[in-house]
Amino acid sequence: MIHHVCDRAGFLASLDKGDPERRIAEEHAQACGVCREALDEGRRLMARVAEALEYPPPSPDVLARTAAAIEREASDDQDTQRRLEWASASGVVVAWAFQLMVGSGWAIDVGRAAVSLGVLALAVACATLLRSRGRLAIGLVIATSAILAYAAGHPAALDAHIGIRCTFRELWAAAITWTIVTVVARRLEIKLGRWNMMAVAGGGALAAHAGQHLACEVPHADGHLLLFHFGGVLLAVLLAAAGTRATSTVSAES
Amino acid sequence: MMPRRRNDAHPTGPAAAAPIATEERLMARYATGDQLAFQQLFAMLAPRIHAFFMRSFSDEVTIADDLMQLTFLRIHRTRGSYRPDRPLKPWVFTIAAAVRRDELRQRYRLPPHVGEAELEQTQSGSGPIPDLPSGIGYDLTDEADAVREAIRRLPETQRMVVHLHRYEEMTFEQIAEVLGTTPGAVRVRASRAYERLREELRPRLQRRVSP
Repeated sequence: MIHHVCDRAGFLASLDKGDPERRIAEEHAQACGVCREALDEGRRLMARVAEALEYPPPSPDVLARTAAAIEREASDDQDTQRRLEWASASGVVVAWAFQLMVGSGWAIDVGRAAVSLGVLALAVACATLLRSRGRLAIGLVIATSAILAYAAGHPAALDAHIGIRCTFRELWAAAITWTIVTVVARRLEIKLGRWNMMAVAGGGALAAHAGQHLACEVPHADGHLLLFHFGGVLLAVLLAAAGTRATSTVSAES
Repeated sequence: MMPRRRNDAHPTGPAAAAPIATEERLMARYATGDQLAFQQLFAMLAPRIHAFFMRSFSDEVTIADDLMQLTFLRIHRTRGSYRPDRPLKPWVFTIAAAVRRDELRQRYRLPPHVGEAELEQTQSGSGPIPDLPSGIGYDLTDEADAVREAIRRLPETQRMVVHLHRYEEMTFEQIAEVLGTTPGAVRVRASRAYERLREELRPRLQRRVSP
């Protein structure tokens, strides 16, 4: 059966040399003069099209105007990011202060205060500077909380009732940070991803953990610290992940 | 006059000369806030994006200028979503194609959900391609200008496929990804466009016989 290719020769000549359709057409053209001439015509068409497609570049004025518009926007972006970072840092510090306000069983000395402030600084960094590297920030938050709980504890009884209260305080603190950052980001029209929001909530919870280092009703109990303080940070991160996923699902559906 | 390119049947667009890996690296650096990378990338991409809109909107320079600026603003705003392990060209032209679609929807007063297939239908029912604005006309005695005019007279959706295929050297799969349609639909458009060009330019394509 003969498959002439004359009526598609332009298209066939536009295909890569290795394209099966073109190979079949060229094999056929070897034995068919009409199709061979049509394919030659197609190749000449491709050469003419290649010559004709070039456009002169846009004028230097237009290029300068466009580049200036992008640079202006980039500079606005930096301002916006700075404002969001301030909001995130404030949110984390508020979470720490909230913990001191609602806490009891004060145990303040220079060493404890230094550890608490150091962990607070790390929580601020995780929610601001490291927010764009969400996974690293979350890893740091979880590792710091675990180390703090492990290093500060000693064997003692586990009071479940008070422990749950500690966890809830951390969750509240994380919610405060999360809300502050979400509201400010919305006002600044910045869309934060899931990992970013997990880092923010984790930063808030870690700040609360640092606050509880100074004001916890069951200080230094190993099981209590690991289960309720570290567990609170972990839970805050997981809830932020679930919350962000639920929010994006709702917005995608609406 | 515009520069001439080498004369073979293979794609000869600017991507052939540009080291592709450099574009991706520059974009990755730009996404992290490197201004110098932006300037280099801008110098590479601006003429190509401008040419894309010039082709789409039949040499309307002001429209091409505005849409190029809009495309770069969108690239800037979405630069965080670029994945450096993916080729840059389809990513950039997907954004440019979305800007083009928005402009076409506005022109034809179409709703925002309308895609390529509906645009093609709308364009085919909108009458002949208008002449160029006065003063921009092509000299049809010039070989390349005659080809340019024949390309300009193609329906816009076919013109874009020819541009992305021959000038940007994209595969039909990449063009389909950029335009938000299927590779099959792109092949059909390309086939129609090349056959129409061959038909229109046939007298100029005849083999010249030496006396």
